[in-house]
Amino acid sequence: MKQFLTLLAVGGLLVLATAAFAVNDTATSAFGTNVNEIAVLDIFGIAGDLTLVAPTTGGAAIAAVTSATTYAQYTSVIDTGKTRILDAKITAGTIAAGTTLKLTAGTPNVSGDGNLGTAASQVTVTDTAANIVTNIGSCATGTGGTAGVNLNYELSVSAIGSLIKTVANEITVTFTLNDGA
Amino acid sequence: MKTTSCIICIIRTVCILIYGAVCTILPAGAAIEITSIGSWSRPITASDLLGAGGSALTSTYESASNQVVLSVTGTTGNSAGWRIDIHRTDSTWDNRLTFSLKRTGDGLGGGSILGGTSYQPLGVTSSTFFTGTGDRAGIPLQLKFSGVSVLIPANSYATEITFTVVEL
Repeated sequence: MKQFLTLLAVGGLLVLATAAFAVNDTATSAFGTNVNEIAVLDIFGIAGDLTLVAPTTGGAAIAAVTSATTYAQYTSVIDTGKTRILDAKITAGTIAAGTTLKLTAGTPNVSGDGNLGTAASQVTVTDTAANIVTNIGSCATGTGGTAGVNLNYELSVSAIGSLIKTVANEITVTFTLNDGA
Repeated sequence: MKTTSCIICIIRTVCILIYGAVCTILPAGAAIEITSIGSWSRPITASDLLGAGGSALTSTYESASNQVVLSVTGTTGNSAGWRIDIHRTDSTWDNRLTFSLKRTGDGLGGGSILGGTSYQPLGVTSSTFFTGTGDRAGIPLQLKFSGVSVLIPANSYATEITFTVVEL
C-alpha cells in the first residue's frame, strides 16, 4: 500500500511539473484586405484627321482613309467568373452625310498582364454603343507606347450621292469599360 | 485500526508534499499571459494603381509601425524566459498574397527582448517570432502584405493572427 501511494505521489508530481513547464497563453488580431473591383480606362495617343481625298483618276471611287494612332489602355479587377466589355459610341458631333466611320480594335498587346479580352470584328461607330473588345477579365494592358488595344478608325464613302463638301467636322467617340452580361 | 490510521497519515504526507512542490514550481498568481491590441484592414482600390489606366497595382502594403501592440505579463520575474509563436488562420485568402510582420520596438519592462525585428512571413503553421524575459508591455508590431496584382480576384480576404506565448 505504501509503495502504491508513493508511486501515486511521484506520478502526480511529474504530471504537475510537466504542466507547469507547458504554460502558455494566446491572443489574436484580425487582418483583412478587400480587393475592390477596379475599372480604369485611358486612351493613349492623339487621333489623326480623317480627310477624304480626290482620286487620281477621274471616275474612280473615293478611297477610305484610316488612322490608327491611339490605344485603349485599361486596368480591370473583377470578381471570379465575371468579364467586362469595352464599347465605343459617338457622343458628340455628327458623321458627314454620305460617309461611315468604322472602328477596328487590334488584338490586345501581349505585353499586358491577365485576361486582356478578345477583339471584336470591325464595327460601325454610331451613337449606339458597339462592343469592340469582349471577355475582359482581371488585367492590366500596360501603359504608354503601343500598349493596349490599337484603335484603327476608317472613314469611307457609303453614299456618294449624299456626299457634300464640309468644313472640319469633329467627332467625339467615347469608350466605356462595362461589366459584361 | 492501526493500519487505517497509518494510511491516512501517509495520504496527508503525500498531499503536503504535492502542495509544496506545486508552490515551488508555480508561485501564487504566476500565470503568463499575452494580450494583443489592434487589427488591420487595408482595402485595395483604383487609387492603388501605379499610374493611369493600363497600369499595375502597387504590390506591397505596410501598416503603421505600431499597428498591433503586444504585452506579456504574469511572468515569475525578470529572468523568466518566454517566446512568442505566430501563425495565421484564414477565413478567405489567396495564397498569392504573402503576409508578414516584424517587431518595431522593445516595449517596456525589466526583462529583455530579442529577435523579430525583420519581416517574418506568417504561415498557417506555428513559428517562433521572438523571445524575451520578464514582463514586457507595449511591444509594437508592423504588418505587411505583398503579392497584390490585378490577377487577385476582387473579393474580401481575411485572416487571424494568433500570438502564443510559451513559458521557457
